[in-house]
This record gives sequence, C-alpha cells and structure tokens, in this order.
Amino acid sequence: MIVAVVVGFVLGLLAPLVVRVARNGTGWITGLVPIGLFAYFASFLNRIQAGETLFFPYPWLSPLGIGLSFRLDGLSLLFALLITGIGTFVCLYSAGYLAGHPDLGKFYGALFAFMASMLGLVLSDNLVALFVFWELTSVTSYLLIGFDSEREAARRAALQALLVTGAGGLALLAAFVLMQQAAGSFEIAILVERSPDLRTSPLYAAIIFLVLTGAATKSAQFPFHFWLPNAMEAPTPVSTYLHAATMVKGGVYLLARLSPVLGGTDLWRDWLIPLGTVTMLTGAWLSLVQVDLKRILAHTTVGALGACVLLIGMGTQGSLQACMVFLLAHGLYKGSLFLVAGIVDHETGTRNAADLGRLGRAMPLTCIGALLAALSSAGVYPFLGFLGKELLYESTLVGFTPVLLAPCAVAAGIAFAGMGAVVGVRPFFSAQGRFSGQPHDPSPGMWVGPVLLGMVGLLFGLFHGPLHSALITPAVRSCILQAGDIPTPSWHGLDVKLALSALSLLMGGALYWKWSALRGRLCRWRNVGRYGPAAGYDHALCLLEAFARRQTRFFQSGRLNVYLIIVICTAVALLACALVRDNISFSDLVLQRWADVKTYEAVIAAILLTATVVTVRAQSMLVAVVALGVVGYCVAVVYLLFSAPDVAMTQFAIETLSVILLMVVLLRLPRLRTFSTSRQRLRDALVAVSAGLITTLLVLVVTTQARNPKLADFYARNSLVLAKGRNVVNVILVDFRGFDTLGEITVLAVAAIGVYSLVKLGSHRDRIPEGPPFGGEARGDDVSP
Amino acid sequence: MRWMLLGPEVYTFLAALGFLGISLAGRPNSGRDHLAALCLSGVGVLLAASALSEDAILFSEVYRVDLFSQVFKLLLSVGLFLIVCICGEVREIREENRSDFFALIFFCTLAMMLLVSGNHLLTLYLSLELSSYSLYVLVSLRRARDMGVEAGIKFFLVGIFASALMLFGMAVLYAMTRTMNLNALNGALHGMMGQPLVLLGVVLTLSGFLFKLACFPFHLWVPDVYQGAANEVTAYLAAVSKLAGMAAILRFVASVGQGGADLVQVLLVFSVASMTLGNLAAITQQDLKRLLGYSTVAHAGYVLIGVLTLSASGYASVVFYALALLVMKFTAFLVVVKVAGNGTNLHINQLAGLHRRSPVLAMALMVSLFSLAGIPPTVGFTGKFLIFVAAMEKGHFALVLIAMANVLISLYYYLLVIKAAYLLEPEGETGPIAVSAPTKVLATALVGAMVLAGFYPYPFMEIAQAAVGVLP
Repeated sequence: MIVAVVVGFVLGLLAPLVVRVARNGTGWITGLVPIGLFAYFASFLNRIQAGETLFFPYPWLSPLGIGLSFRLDGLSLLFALLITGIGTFVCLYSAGYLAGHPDLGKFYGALFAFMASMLGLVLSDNLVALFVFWELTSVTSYLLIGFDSEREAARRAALQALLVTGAGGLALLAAFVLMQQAAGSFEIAILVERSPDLRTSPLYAAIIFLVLTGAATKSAQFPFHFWLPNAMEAPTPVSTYLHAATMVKGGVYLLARLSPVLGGTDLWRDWLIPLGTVTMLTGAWLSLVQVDLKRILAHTTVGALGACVLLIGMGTQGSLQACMVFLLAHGLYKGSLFLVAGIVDHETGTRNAADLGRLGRAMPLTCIGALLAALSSAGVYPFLGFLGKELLYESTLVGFTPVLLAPCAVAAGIAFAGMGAVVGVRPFFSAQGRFSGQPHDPSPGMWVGPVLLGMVGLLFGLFHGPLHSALITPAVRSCILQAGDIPTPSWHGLDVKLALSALSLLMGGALYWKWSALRGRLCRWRNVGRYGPAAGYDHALCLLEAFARRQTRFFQSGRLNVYLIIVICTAVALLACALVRDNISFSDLVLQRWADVKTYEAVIAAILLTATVVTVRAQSMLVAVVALGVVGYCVAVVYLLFSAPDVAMTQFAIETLSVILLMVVLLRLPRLRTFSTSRQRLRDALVAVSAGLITTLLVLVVTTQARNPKLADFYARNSLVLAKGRNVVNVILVDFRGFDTLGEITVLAVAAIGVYSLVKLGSHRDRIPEGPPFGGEARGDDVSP
Repeated sequence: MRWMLLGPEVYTFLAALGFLGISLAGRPNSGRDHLAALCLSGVGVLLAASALSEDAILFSEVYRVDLFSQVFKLLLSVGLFLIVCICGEVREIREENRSDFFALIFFCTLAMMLLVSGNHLLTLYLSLELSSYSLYVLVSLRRARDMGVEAGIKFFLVGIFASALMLFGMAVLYAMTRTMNLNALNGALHGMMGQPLVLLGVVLTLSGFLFKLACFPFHLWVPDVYQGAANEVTAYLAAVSKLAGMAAILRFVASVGQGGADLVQVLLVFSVASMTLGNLAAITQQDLKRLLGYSTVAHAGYVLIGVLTLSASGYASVVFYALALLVMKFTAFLVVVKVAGNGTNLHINQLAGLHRRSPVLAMALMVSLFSLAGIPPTVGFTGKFLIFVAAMEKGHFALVLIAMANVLISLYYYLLVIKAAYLLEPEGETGPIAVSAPTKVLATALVGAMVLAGFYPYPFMEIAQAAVGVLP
C-alpha cells in the first residue's frame, strides 16, 4: 500500500525526464500510472464489498504513538478510485491542452505529487499522517494553480488558495492535537472506539469548531468559498482535477471519515446543517451571475459541496448514502464539464458563455460528452445525477426541518440543472456565437475524457444495483458505527421527491432559456459582493499589512536610542512588577535607614549626582568627559569607604585611563550638536529617571535581604593557617584572591595597550578610512507608506 | 588524562590561533586560507562526533561535559563546517581581513562550545561575552564600512546593555542564594521561585541569553545587523550562533526554573511578543536578509514555547528544533550568498526567475522556506509539531493557538518570497547563475536532509531526548 502512495512522488521527480523522452506520447505514457493504480485499487473491490476493512500499518514515529498506518475501507476505496480514475483522463488531457509548454515536465511532476498526496490523504488511518498529506495537497495545488505564472491574477489566486487552506490546515492540526489530548491517540481506528470519551470531553466543542474550519477551507464552504472561483486561473486540467473531482472533496472526506468519531451529536448537526445549507445556496445563487464557463462551474461546485456537507451533517444512513452517490455523480459530470470548458476555451479562445454558440456541428464528439454531463448534472433519468438528486431530496424530506431544507435543496437543484445546461448545451446549440478561429474536435487524448466520464455517469445510473453493493454501501458503512441494511434505491412510483425532481428540471429548463435576461437583472445585485467574505479577505490582508508597517516603523526605526528605550522600558516594567508584588514598604526602605547615612557619605552622593547632571547637560565634550571622570572617582571613593580598597584601586586606575582614552577619541570628533527635539529629550529623561529610581529601590530591597557574609572572619582566621601570612590584606590580594588580582592587572595592561595604540594611531592622521563613518540616515526599515 | 574530554574545544582553539598567526604574519592568501579552514572544520566535526560520549564535571564544577553539551558541540561544529563551505570568496570582506575572518569565526565557535558546557553563571557569562565580541567585530568587517560599522555599533550597544542586565540579575541571584553554580542553584532555589526577587534575578539573567537568541525585547538589533553584515557573517549569525543561545537558555532554565509559575508567565509574554512582532515586521520587508532576520525573531518565540513548558519533552523538542533551524536557516542563506554573487544585499525581486536561472537553488530556497513556515513533511514542521504537542501537554492551549496564527502570518511572507523565485519573471535579461558542482551537491543534500529528517525524525528525536535526559 505504501508503494501505491509513494510511487506518485517518485514518478513526480522523474516526470520531466519522461516528458522529454516521450514527446507526443506523453499523455498516454503518463496516463499509465493512474490507470495502473486504479486497477490496483479496483482489485480490492471484492474484499471491501464483503465488508472487510484492510489495515496496512508501517512504523513511523512509534515513540510518539504515530504510525504511518493506512486503511482501506469503502470510503477510502471510493475516493481512491475517483482520484486515480479521473487522474487518468487528466493526464491524457493535459498533454494536448498544454502541448509545447516549456514546463510540461514540471507540471506532470506536480500533478503526480498531488495525486500521491491526495491518495495518502484518503488512505491514512493516522491523524498526523493525514495532516501531512492534507498540507501536501495544499502545497502541490499552490504550484499547480500558479502554473500559468505569467499572469498576476494566477499568482494572486495561488497565494490566496494556499493561505486560506493553510489557515484551515493549522486549525485542523490544533483539532488533531486536542483529539489526542482527549482520547489519547492519533489513530482513527482507536478514536472510533473511544468516541464516547471524545463526545463527553470538555474539548469537544473546540474540536468540532476547529475540524469544521479545516474542512470548510478545503471544501470551499461559506465563508471561505471565495478562493475556489478565483483559483479558476489555473490551467483547466488542474481545475478539473483539484477543483471538481478531488481536492475540494478533501474536506467532505474528512467530515465523513470523522463522523463516526465526532458525529451524531446535536452540536455536530447544529453546525454542519446550516453550514452546508448556506454554502449550497450561496454557490447556486452566485453561479447565476457568472459568464465565464469555469467560474460558473466553480460556483456550482461550491453549491454541490455544500449539499454534501449538509448530508453528512444529518448523519442518517439515508443521508450518507445520498452524500456518497451525489459525490460520485458530481465528480463524474463536473469533471467532464470542466474538460469540455477547457476544450472550448482551447478551440475558440474564449470562455465567455454569452459569446459561445453553434459549436455542435464543429465538434461533435466534444458535444456528446458535454450533453451526457449536462443531463447528469440536470438530474435527468436514467443518469447517476438523477439518482443523486432523488436521494438528496429524500433526505431533506424525511430529515430535520423539511420545511426549510427541502426548498433550499430544490433551489440548488434548479441552479445545477440550469447552469449545467449553460455550460454543457448552450455553447453547442445556441444560435449566436462571437469568437474567432475554426474550432474542431481536439486530439483523442482530450475528447476521450469527457465522453467516457459522461458514459460512466449514464452506465452507473442504468445499473446502479451493482454500483451500490460494490461501492456505495461499503462507503456508507465506514461512516456509520452501527449500520443496518442499506437498501438499494428503487422505483417508488409517483411521490413527492419525484415531483420535486420534475419541478427542478422544469425550472432548470426555464432558467436555461431565460438565462441571459435573468443574468442582466441579477447583475444589479453584484455590489453586494463588496461586503462578502472575499472582500473580507482583502481587507484583512490590507489591515495586516498596514498594522505590520506601523508596528515595524515604531519598533524598528533603525535608531539605536529607540531600541535602548524599548529595552529599558521592558526591564523597568519587569522590575516594577517584581517590586509591587513584593509588597515592600517604602518607609522601611528609605525612612528608617536614613539615620545610618553619615555626613561625608551624603556629600559624596551630592557630588556624584551633580557630576551626573553636568555630564548630561554639558555643552562641550571636554566638560562631559571630565564630569564623567568625577562620577567614576566618586564611585571609587564609595568602594573605599565600604572597605574594598582593592576594587577602589582598580576603579581609580580604570577611571583615569578611560578619561584619557575618551579625551583622545572625542577630541578628534566634531563639537556636540543637538539632534533631538526637546520633547525627545524629555522622553529620554523620563525613561532614564524611572530606570534609575527602580534600580535604586531594587538595590535597597536586595541589601535588606542579603545576609551578612562571614568572609572577613574567614580571612582573619585562616590567613596565617592556610597562607602563612600575617598581613591579611596582602594575603587576600596575592593568595586567596590571587587570580582576581591577576585579572585586575590584566585589565589594566589591556587598557594601557588600548591607549597606546590610539595614541599611535593619532600620529599618522592620513590613514583615515575612506567614506564617512556613518552614512547619513539611520538604517532602519525603509517601509514605504 | 582523558584528552577527548576537551578535544573539540582545544582543537578549535588551536585552529583559531593558527588563523590568528597567519593574520599576524600578514600573508593572507584567501584560497589557501579557505582550504585550510575547510579541512580544519571538517576534522573538527569528526572530533566532536567522537567526543559525543564524554562525560565529566570539571574545574570546581564550573564546566560540565555531558551528552547535552556534546550534542550541541557537534551541531556547532557541523554549523561551522557548513558556513566555511560557503565562504570560498567572501567578497564583502577585504582580502587583508580574510584570515581575521576565519580566526574570528573559529574563536566564536570556541566560545559557544564553552557556553554550552557552562555550569556556572560566570562561565556562562564569560563565554557569552567572548562569542559576542567576536561577532561584533565580524559584523563590522564588511567592506561597505558605513553599513558594517553602523550595524556593529548597534549590535554592540544593545549587547552590552543585555550583558549589564544579565550581570545585575546574577548579582541578585547570588545575593539571594550565595551561589552561582547551576547545580547548587537548582537545590538552593527549590521552593524559592515564588519570591519576586528570585524571579527577577532569573529573568534578568535570562536577558543575556535572550539577546543571543534574538528574543523580545533584545531582538531590535537583528534586522539592522543582518542587513549590515556581510552575507556569510549573517548566515553564521542566523544559523550557528542561535544554537548556543538555545543550549544555554535550556540549561539555565532547566536548572533554576523548576516550579516557577511566574517565570513561565514572563517567558510566555516574551514568546508571544517575539513571534508576533517578528512575523508582522517581516511582512513589509523587501530586503531578503532583513526578512530572514525577522523570521529569526519569530523562531526565537517558538523556541521559547518549548523552553517554558519546563518539561523533558519540551526541552527535547527545543533540541530537535535547534537541529532543524541550523539546516533550514543555513539552506536559505546558502541561496542568498549564491544568488547575490557579488556579496551585495538581496532584494526579493532579484529572485525573480530563479527557477530558470538555477533550478537547484530555487528548489533549496523553496524547501527551506516551506520548512521555516512549518509545512509538512519538512523538518520545520516536525520541530514545530513537537513543540506544540509538548506545550499542549502542559495545557498552554491559548499559546499554541497564538503560535499557529503566527505560523499562518509567516506562511504569507514566505510565500511572497517563493512566489518571487518561482512565479515572477525577471525584468530584463538575467543569465543563469553559475553554481559549482559541490554547491549543487550541498544544496541537494540539504534539501534531502530537510525532507528526510522531517519525514523520519525518529533518530534525531532519540538523540534529543537522550541529550536532555542529563539536564536536571
């Protein structure tokens, strides 16, 4: 089984080679891969029909409880056959459609990779593996949608599709992780057993919401439906494969797959039924105003996917059966119609339904395929589409709130019938046609797809008994825990659903005849789209970019002082939080210990403060440096007063050296100038003062907490015993803390070398590096407004 | 005497000294120097690999050689080797400074090796400073002096500021516990994490590591420095120097953080701020190096998620992520260095048509960016997945959701870059990019590594788990 999944990826890498070798036979050679896989999966039909579920576990991330396990049951098989079957025709078709394209090899590579990911998605029995394949379908579809990259619209659509489905993918990942938290496993088979735990878990609502978001983005459900019509920028074979037959059904597949795990609750129904209904109506409604053949098809696809979600949401045996039949019928006729639309576009150079007509005689074979598909789409007896529609109506009639749902379903049915005819009938039989060129039937590779798919739709409709026992019943069984006998739908005589069918067919016909006039009227409502989710997406991106620009301009101005202010403010905020939480009383800290302060200490503190102010306010470099030196000397005196003579010595030395150093450097620089406004200086002062205050408080707190070290005693007692020296200070300097002293000496030496090299550098002034040291403006984010 | 105990460190030190000698002798020869660096760093990888199983605690317990440190030393050596691979012609650094350049990156790697073994706050501080100082100089070496020096000064000032805060934090910690040894701190802080001052000491001490990791609020230097430094230096900064920061923060937090609910809150804020600010800022970027800089900031946020779980699985996910970051960041910068053949900065639009000009580089760029964005089945996805699962186990549900929203934002700007490379057509004629055979092999190998390690991460996860097993 793993070979069946991986073979697509491997062949995807080899595809460019095949294309180069095969040239004209490309379509037929590449088509061998999906047809071979189709045969492989078809060989399981008997065992699946007997009610078996096959598991193919492969070790993967065993310690995390994640295996690369595949399962093959009715649902997986139905999808796998759909993927490989339609894949075959798409392979054949693409060779003609994209003949002579320089990147045909890459195209086939991406197509095979996509097929393999799609197969992996419907075969995985592990949620993590499923997610991996789910995202892989998004990525490969990105490459496929953007294939005609010359056009900006194609690039935009590719980005939009991947962003929307990517967002859904992340929601899905979150849902899967939550499911693992709630039920302790990523394996679907185990989750099915533990579904009672999941349904009662407090995380259940969150899981449902996230799973729905994931499925809705992939299957273009409201309000994420907008990416699908935009993705029609893709080459037609891609639209056929991804946007009609397989990828967009991924979300439906996921919901069906998880319905035994999560489904059957009120919450499930309350979310899915409205979601599906709204999407169904939105798709049907929006399809009416389109003129582009592919966009019409895209919108009806949205509607059909909505119907599937609605049926899964009901969750009864009958509705799931309806879902599977409808899904299969839709895959067949919609795939065919897309291929036809591509042929028409290819031959006439236009996809505008209003401009097309009289093609029936010029391209008879294509016309046959189109007719077959349009009839199935309209739900004419005995096509499979008829059966699908019957079952859909039946489910809405017996299920929940039929008063609401049945009219909705009929409305959608009317749109599917009418718009199917606009795509499949009108271009061939309409009286007027405005296009250039001499259209004729394309090469066999291209017309064989629509014709055969249409025939299959007819055959399945005629002989639906075997179809049911072989495919549909096992698929329904894998979506439902306790499945009873699933009856094969049969002729019930004249009843309500047949009447509804007839009604929708009639109204659909009326829609077809009056389409031009109706569209004109409906177009006036177009502006409503300005407030739709597509506009929401654009707005969200604009807002995000605007916000990003603003915050970047604020944080990343390229100005060092702003950077430091941000750092200081964060530190101050942290310190303040800590101090507030410590509940310190300021009177303890400041007032009570005030008495300890000696007069000379106060004098030194005053000098220190004055010198600091002078440093900051100084107009000339010289004054500032000298004042800074005073600050340093005062600190050294403080060390001295608190019996740390060695540190004080070092400080004196360092201070002297650094003043000299600063002199040497700074005197070569221009005079101080004021760059900042007074407001900026006020801000800086505030930041500096608050940082100083907070630090002071912190030091006070720390000193109250610190216990008195007993080091002095230790030195006094041990200097003779351990170091054989009577002068304690000497012993400390050269023995106990010998390495410290060495370090201090080293620091002095290094500082001296620094001064020396600076002085030496100053003696040959001509060796100044070329260019100004600082090139004008600060280098921050050059964010254009 | 077990020489292998300090084998990688001593070896790197000697190699650095060698380049220093060449520089002092004043006979630079870039071809010879590069070959020597290549051989030396290659042998260094072998040496680090053979020292993997060493285990000891040295020098009055300030220096610890254990599986954790040795794994990171191996990663550092591999990173050094990879960087040296793309330093054949460092156009943006003057001829006479080339051997300095090699000396400095060897010194910096040495410092980071010391850092990952540090078991005492002062050891950590000193090695952090040593590596930072090498980097300050490396950044300033750029031929376009105004850019290099400006970036260097910004880097330096923010850096010393972070160091000052770190020292202050260490002083507070010392005042509270009377020790700076990590093992002793682990014991001494037991039950004390509730005290605001202890928390303060820990958080302030963290600031040094956060600076190294390019985490909020010490991330502001990143874009300016990435833009200002030579491409190869930026690659080293992004791919290799982050590793040591991750190791140090892991060891420190694992030692002092147990039971620190408040610490988790603080880290949570830093994590969310880092990824959000980083990702948002990246959206508006046109300079590829700046964009990757912001993505580094965002990734620091993801790394912090793993750290703040305070659990073995979280730490292990961080170690795995370190490996992932090394490979994906390096691959992205490999493309930057090769496409910007003359060493200038790269504008996103300059990538247009890359898939025709050099399919291998375009492929490498795409896979590395998808990996950075966390798209399966790349190593970046696996790393993020492990981190998110570890965080979920600890109940950080909201944090994971925020992180996922961030992943989505990041997907947007990575896609803009991929779009430029794959879908945009270049304006005017641009010839194919000359890519040498070894570079092609390297790029292909890296792509293979990213996908393989993403799809079959088990061996690496096992190493990561074993490595964090030695942490307290």
